[in-house]
Amino acid sequence: MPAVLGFEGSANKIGVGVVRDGKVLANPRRTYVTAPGTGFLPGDTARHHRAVILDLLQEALTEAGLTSQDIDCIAYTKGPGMGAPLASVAVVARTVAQLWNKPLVGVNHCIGHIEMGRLITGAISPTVLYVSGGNTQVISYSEHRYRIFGETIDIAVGNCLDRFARVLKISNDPSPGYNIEQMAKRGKKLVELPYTVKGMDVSFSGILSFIEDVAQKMLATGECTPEDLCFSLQETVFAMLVEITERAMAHCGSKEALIVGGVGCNVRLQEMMAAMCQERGAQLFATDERFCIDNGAMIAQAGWEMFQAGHRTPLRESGITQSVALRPSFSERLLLLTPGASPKMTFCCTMSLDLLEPQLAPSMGYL
Amino acid sequence: MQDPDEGLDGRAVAEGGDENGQQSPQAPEAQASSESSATEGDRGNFPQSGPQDASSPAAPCSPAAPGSHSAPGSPSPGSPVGSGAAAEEAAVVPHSEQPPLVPGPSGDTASTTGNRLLEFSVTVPFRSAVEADMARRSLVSNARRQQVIVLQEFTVNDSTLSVRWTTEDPVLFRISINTFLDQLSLVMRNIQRLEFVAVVKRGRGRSRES
Repeated sequence: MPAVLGFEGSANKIGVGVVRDGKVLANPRRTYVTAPGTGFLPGDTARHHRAVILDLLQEALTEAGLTSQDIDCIAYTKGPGMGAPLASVAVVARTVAQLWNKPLVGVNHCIGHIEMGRLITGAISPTVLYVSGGNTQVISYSEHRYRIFGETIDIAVGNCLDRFARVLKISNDPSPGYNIEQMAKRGKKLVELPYTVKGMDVSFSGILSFIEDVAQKMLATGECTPEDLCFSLQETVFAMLVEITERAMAHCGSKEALIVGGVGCNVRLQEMMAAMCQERGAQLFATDERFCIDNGAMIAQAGWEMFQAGHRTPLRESGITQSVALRPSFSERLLLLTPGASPKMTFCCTMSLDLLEPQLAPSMGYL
Repeated sequence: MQDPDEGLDGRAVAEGGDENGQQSPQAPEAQASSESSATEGDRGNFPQSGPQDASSPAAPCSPAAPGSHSAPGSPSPGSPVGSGAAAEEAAVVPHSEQPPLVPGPSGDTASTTGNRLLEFSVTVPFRSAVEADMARRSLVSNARRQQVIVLQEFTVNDSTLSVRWTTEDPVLFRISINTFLDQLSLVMRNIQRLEFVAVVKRGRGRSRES
């Protein structure tokens, strides 16, 4: 029963988690919160993480009731994310791995979200809506394979919400998205905003530009309230996400939908997705804020699966990568290829190789 | 991006505590002294109990200002063995025959990066060769990301880790050095903390707090 220690620090949350055989033994986390109207910068965020990570590590071990000898593997976020925070956390992971003489596993942050969502909810082969401050993708998962069906062509939905929060000087504590959600509950008027769905993909930069431009004018004239704007923005962007998710589910004949990522905590998004799933006779899966928001346990869980599959990250290859495609590497595909794979699975493997070419549109990843 | 407490060149004011206002554990043999390029609060803590080298200027060398004062290459005679991280003088190796010029804030065209090769070295003593090599392997992977522009060379000699930077880009030069020192501090604290935890768990009864 291997126990894996996972380090996550790709954005403004830093977490250290311990997972053993599908059970989360510890998952402490800290958030770097900036002043209203501002975002978090890489250097400052990394400084915050460096200051708290060793305390978090101790807290995780104490909460799990484990010692270094009980840990079998050290997992850390290899990417994607912000460079300076990623690098700071990776340094600790490497040092711990050497001090304790344990193998090291670099984990894709996105896969960490998905695998934790699957673990907690029990979803088997869901269509995944991965929505966070840095990522917005619709992913189909089947037999250890990930296929991106649709994604944002510019900014992530969480980034759109966070930057809108800055316009209204909404507090970043505990998170701007949470505060927008609470304000939206008090909104009464729907302001028409640009609705931008392009096939399987979505675009949020235009909506953000538009609302940044009109917000102050409309508030000044009393045409609407900040709550109305929060409500309108949520309804618009979430409807877009529901549309592309439904399209992917229709294409795959999927009966399961899973929401992961920080924006997945949003209850309104879950309501809208639930309504769509009900109409389709599908089941919706979602987690709470412990596992939706970036956390160490999700890295530990993904690391646990990689460790069990025999994957190791040598120290000389343990550098971080700010931009890492969700598409698995060639070696990972070989590692995960199950014996007796069906012809369809083999075809999907071949398609994946083509998807490594950067000029190919991600929406070409159809089965 | 600078912390308000940092100086213009990224140095933190030593305020007697780390970023959380706590005193980090004192392991004199492994501490990097303040004479190194301390730029943040967590390194600002070290001077409280680490060796104070009167001969070293309080200001570490600023790679963005070539020719400025540098920290001395060796710890003071009274300091414990292996307690200092010594920084060699930031050297500017101009390719031309002209003497080096200190660039002004608006940018002196004669001091632009074109022909000026910047070099900087740091040596960090550890308690053992194992620890020195451990630190090297923890830090070298991050350095590889910038190797195209900033050449960073890591060397371990017995229990001493030496790092040397070479580049023509003064901005990345400074960033790379500051980043390294931040991460070095983290590695050293990490080694101290986890060793301590391991000792306590084995029941040797040390009473130091983590």
